[in-house]
Amino acid sequence: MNIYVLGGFLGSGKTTLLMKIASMFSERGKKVSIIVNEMGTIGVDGTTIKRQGYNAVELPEGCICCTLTGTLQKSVIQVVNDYYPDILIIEPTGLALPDKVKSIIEAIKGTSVEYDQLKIVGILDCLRFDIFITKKKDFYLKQLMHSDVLVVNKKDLVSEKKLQSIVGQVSEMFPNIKIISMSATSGDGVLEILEVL
Amino acid sequence: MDKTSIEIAGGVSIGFTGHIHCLDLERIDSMMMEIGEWIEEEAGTLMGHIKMSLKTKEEGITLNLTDLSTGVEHHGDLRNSKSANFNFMVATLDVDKSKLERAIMDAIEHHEICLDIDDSKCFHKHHHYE
Ligand SMILES: Nc1nc2c(ncn2[C@@H]2O[C@H](COP(=O)(O)OP(=O)(O)OP(=O)(O)O)[C@@H](O)[C@H]2O)c(=O)[nH]1
Ligand SMILES: [Mg+2]
Repeated sequence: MNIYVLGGFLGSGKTTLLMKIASMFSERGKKVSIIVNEMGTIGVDGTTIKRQGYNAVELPEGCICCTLTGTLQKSVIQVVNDYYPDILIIEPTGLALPDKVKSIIEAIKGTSVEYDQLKIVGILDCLRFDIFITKKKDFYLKQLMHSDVLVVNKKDLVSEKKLQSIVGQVSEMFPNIKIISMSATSGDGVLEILEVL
Repeated sequence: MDKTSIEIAGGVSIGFTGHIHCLDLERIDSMMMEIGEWIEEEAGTLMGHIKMSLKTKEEGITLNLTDLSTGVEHHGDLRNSKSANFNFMVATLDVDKSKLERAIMDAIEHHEICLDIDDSKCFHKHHHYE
């Protein structure tokens, strides 16, 4: 089993990418399970994902990287035991730190679950990049810095020049992380992500 | 205790479920825009996500607002229904939670959206304009 944690700020495109990746893995004959966590007591993503025909475990109320550690571990164990997925995709809240989610799962590796790979896909949104980098730089960088691959999403909403400028800035900030530009809605660039996962 | 990542970022979220009667997606879009504009005024920018999923037995749609210039985006279909169950949530940065709650209620009232909100910790109101 491979586990992918989709990290990234509120509205960056995590759920949209999740559904694209899930359908591509399914088409390749892989069994996919999904865990989604939202900040409040009420979630919207779970409903959206289920409407696409995927089985999603929703973990509302709180954040899996801070207050829901035990809940996340239990859910991972349960999903693995109930469904035996080849791929487990986890979408934390848009304000979670994905590396914390990773550590929480690593803590049960070998005892309660076995997996081959656990990777973080960090997603950022072209359209609002300038705002976040100006107003919330520290948090933004903290959220993305432990990614195994960085996805510059919503490229369809900016010019090629703007996209290149963002990709340039991101690669300066994170010189050792692979960067892929993508449009999660059109699917352009998603195959490339699958290749590095 | 250590701050949570939500607290570090200054995040606030409000959500509720319920049932909408006089379903009019244009009015719901406009209601969501009003909330987005309120956040922008309050926090300087909308750094967040306002979203709603609506579903009936047959169909369903998700509405997303992350950027005021892009507006509310629709994913899915809900053409044949006059009423639907909904999940609604706003998650954003740098606003006061009770003020946000008020702004959401105001936007619902301004747009005369008739909905019943399920019992929740935050909301006990029932709105009817029929
Ligand atoms: N134009 C465009 N819109 C996109 C793209 N990716 C996502 N969106 C839109 O951005 C909005 C938010 O996308 P989501 O996938 O819900 O974002 P998220 O990161 O899951 O949001 P949270 O779970 O609230 O943090 C939706 O309206 C998407 O359709 C893209 O590549 N291009
Ligand atoms: Mg999401």
